Amino acid sequence: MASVALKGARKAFPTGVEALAGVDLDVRDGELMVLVGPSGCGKTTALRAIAGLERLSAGRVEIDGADVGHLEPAERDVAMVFQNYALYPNMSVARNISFGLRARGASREEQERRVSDIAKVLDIEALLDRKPRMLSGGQRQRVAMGRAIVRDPRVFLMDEPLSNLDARLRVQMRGEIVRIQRELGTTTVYVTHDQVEAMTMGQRVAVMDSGRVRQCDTPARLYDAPADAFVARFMGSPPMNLLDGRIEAVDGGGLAAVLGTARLPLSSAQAAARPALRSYAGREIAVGVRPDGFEIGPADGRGDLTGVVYLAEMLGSEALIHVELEHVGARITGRFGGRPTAAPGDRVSVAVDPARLDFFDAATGIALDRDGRG
Amino acid sequence: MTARPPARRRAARVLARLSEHAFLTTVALICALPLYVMLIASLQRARDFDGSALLPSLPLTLDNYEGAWSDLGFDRMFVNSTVLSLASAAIATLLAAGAAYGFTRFRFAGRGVLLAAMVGMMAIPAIVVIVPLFVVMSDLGLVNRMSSAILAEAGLLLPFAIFLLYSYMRDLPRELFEAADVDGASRWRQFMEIALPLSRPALATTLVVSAIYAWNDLLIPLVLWQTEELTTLMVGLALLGPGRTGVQDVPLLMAGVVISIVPLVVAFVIARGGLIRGLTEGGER
Amino acid sequence: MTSGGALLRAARAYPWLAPAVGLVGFVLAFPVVKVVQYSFTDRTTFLDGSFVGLDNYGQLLGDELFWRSLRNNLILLLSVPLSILIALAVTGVLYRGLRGSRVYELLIFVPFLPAVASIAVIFLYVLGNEGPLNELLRGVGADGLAHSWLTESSTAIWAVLGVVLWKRIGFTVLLFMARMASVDRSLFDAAAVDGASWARTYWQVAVPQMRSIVGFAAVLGFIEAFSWTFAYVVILTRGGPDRSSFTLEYLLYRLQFDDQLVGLASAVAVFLLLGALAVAAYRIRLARREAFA
Repeated sequence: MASVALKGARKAFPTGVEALAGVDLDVRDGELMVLVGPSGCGKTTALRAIAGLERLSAGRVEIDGADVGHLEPAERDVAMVFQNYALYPNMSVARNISFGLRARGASREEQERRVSDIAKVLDIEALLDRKPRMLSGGQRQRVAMGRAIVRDPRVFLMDEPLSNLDARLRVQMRGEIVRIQRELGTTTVYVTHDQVEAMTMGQRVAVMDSGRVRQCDTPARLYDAPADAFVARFMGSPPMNLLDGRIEAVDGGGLAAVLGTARLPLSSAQAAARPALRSYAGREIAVGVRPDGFEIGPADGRGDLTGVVYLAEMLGSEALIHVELEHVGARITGRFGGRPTAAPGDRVSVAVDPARLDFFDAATGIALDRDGRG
Repeated sequence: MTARPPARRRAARVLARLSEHAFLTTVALICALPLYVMLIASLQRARDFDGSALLPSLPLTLDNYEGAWSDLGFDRMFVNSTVLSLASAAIATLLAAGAAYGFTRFRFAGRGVLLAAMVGMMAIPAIVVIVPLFVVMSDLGLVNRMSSAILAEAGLLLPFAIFLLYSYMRDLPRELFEAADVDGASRWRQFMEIALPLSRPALATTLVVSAIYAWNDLLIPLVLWQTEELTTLMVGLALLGPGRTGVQDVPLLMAGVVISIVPLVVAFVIARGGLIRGLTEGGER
Repeated sequence: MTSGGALLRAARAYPWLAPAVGLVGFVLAFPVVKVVQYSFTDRTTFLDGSFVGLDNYGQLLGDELFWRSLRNNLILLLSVPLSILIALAVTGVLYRGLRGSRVYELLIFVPFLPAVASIAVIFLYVLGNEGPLNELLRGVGADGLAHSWLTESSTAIWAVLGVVLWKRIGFTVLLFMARMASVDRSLFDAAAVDGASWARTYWQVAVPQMRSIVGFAAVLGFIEAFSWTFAYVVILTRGGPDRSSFTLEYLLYRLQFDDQLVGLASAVAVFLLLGALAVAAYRIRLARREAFA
């Protein structure tokens, strides 16, 4: 059991690419921390730095508070699951799993006992004598997990372990990894580019972009109170709609968000929850609307904005409706329960709930937060 | 399309086919006939042999093989060629495997230059270094000792062997070694349990190609193994050639030539695919 | 990373590299340095000799035998374009997949397998005065064409060329067939739809695609013509008759091992070394162009 930390971590590659541009990360003992972000954001480099497969250009890697930057991977007592599993093709499943034990000089009895224990946990007892090439993708994934678990390391490191599986298996293994991690209680750093995996698996999630951690928080907080426009758009599918707007002061000390011709007054309670907003009065800002944060209705309805539907997608239990807004010059995507209520070409009104709006600095993208952050 | 009558078109096509066959048959005959006459001659009784057998005169006999093997000394030459070929190929492959692993798994200053220098040595033909090599081996008292030709041959084979094995090991998935790093396996264990087993096809190709080169080489054993006890097949053939000091008995000599070729045919049949790839990848040194 | 770390990492790599580097140094690198050094001395097998400047080179350049040897190497170099042309023609026909083409391919490849020494001994017999070739010529009434091929000074080096060529073709065909297998077949289909004959399609569409492998074959042939003719010459003609078929390698060998003239032999070696380096440079250029093409 251990905590893991990156402190001011920087990594520049000889090619000039700066993969980590000052990353601070604190993973608590026993926690499942997900690193998520688009490709090239530095999440894999961060993981490999923790493993010791990359040396940092600057900053520290700590495990249990001790600097491990100078230690070889083997000396850090961590285990890693690779994206392509990295199973040794010349060894049987059993030998793959016991490889690390052998390397550390465990006795034959201990190897056999631990391998069979692990095989039971992962339900791969029947596969122990097979070679990796005779296994399906899901089975390989389990073996890779087994190889990590068997050593009972201080930390699990997982690099997109599910990305080579088909969608159905991915959902199943997602649950299974979480279950195993909770049972063992081993501190885990999990890297993925898939925000759904991040939301469903992480106790906390660090969203990364361009070599920095944009926000590190619980999934609910990331969704409800994104720190900036990047996080807001990255977490959630379809992504949050961002519209160009303006903040205006209204008589009586209130505030209103202006989108095109529409003027959305914020109640005083709403305004009070966003103290930073007042200083933006009269200035351009970015207004965020979650796909489930507005209603659409007939064109003559009571909506604040109007627009024309250009695409309606039926997903089964819900529908996505894409609307080209008039006067705002932007498109907005909404998610609604049931079947689509509008067809392409329909003129519709769009009613936005001011309580569900997010506001971001137009230039920096920083959230003008409900808690007064930003 | 010109409107030629179909019959004439078919005739033209048949004619084209025939001329193609005639061309290939001619080339194939030119290529194969010398080996055919070798085989025929080696099966003739000396007293039946008229100097230029295109058709065998019966009866055929295997006596020449017996004779070449025991009377001309091909038994000993065969052993010497085998020792030279296998020992030098084994040494070259072993050292090259270690070096290829060192070049793939370690990053250090001067690595690129050293690798280029080692592989670049492929360009230097044995004939260029034979004079100093002979002088050095004489100074060390190694001429006419088993070790001299074996070491020289292994050294000449090494650049090519490193080239083959390095290209192969470089392309092994890096994650396997990273996983082993995390698992706590030493570099030595990774070499023995991952790099070597996964490189088996390349190791086999390297070993067989090297063995063939060493088997076929004339210059090194001619210069460094000058005693009768250390005569190889190639040296023996060079010294026994007819018309001069050598044997006048052509059937006997041809049987000896066949003996020198058979192991190559066997090696080729066993290792065909990898061999062709290995040879076409850099069939010179 | 500190320089101490870099040194440490290098030190960890050396045990893996040292044996190979040591052996290559002993057999190739050190002798290359030595041969250049010897070439400026009058060293013999028995005497260390002293520095004589460029005397050896001067002596070589003034020696008719040196020039004749070089000329003979150049004659053997003809095997390169000839083997490439013949192999291209053979490949073009073979690739069409005539009935029995696998048998043809096998027969054509066969000469590649035996060692040069084995081949040379076979041809000592085949090209002999009473040998099968002359027998064949006399059999078809071409008595006038029969020669004692290897022992007449007008024919000896050309006979060697014939043997070199004979040995090369199979391997060259093998190289070209391997390349043809990866040429996009739809190109040929397109040409056929356009109404082009196979011969035209092959020479104008397929052969240009084989440029790099042809270059590779040329390099191999060049290397062979300047460094591997030793075994042919030493067995087929021993430089004779009357020293008419010496090549540079054979000259080097005779100077060293018959005349004991280490310095002079080394000067010949330096010429061969320069040739090898020129070929290596050409190969690197070829590889570069490949990489950027």
